[in-house]
Amino acid sequence: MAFEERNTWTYLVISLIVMLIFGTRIYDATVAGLFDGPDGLRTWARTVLTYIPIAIVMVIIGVIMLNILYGIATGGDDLTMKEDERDRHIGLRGMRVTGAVFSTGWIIAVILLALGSSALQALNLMLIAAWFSDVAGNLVKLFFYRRGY
Amino acid sequence: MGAPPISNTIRRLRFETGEMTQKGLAEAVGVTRQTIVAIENAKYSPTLELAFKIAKAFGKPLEEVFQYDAPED
Repeated sequence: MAFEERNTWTYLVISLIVMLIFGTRIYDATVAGLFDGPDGLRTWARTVLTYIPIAIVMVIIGVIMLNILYGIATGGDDLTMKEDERDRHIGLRGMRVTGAVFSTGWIIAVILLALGSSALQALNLMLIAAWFSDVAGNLVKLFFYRRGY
Repeated sequence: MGAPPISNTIRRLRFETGEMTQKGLAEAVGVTRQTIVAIENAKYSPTLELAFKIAKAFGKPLEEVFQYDAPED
């Protein structure tokens, strides 16, 4: 398995874990009314910003651990850590899907806002769109890696 | 999305070149082994630069390594 494909699996798994944990907390906080009131959106923003570095650290740890485990499993036989042209082409395909999905989610959020949804609902929808676009992009990359290209 | 219209003789040339491994060819041209696998199986068309590097690794002209299978109109 290529280095970038291994990393993509890591990104996908971490993304699902982070959103599960993070999404649950955001949902619970929303239901509890922690994001209501004049400082509600500021509290929301601070909550989101708290989870971004956590997610980054989890990805770094996940990549390191997966590559160590892969190295042990393969006896270090195929442990190249290189990104080549095929990886870049597949990465671009993934980015195209990520961009399209996120843009669609963002537009839907803005439309709902124009139709009377609250700012909090719009921001949560954009957050969901960002997560879903990341997952979609990684799935597309894995599809091309498994297929060869 | 069909297979790329470019075929190649890389597998045969590897065996003719001292039974070069896919890993050995990958290291010679600066890509991953998986990319060489994808090229051999006609799943991925290399860039022009990579195609020339592969041909040079075998000491063969480009046309002897890669063939363009023009689609029928």
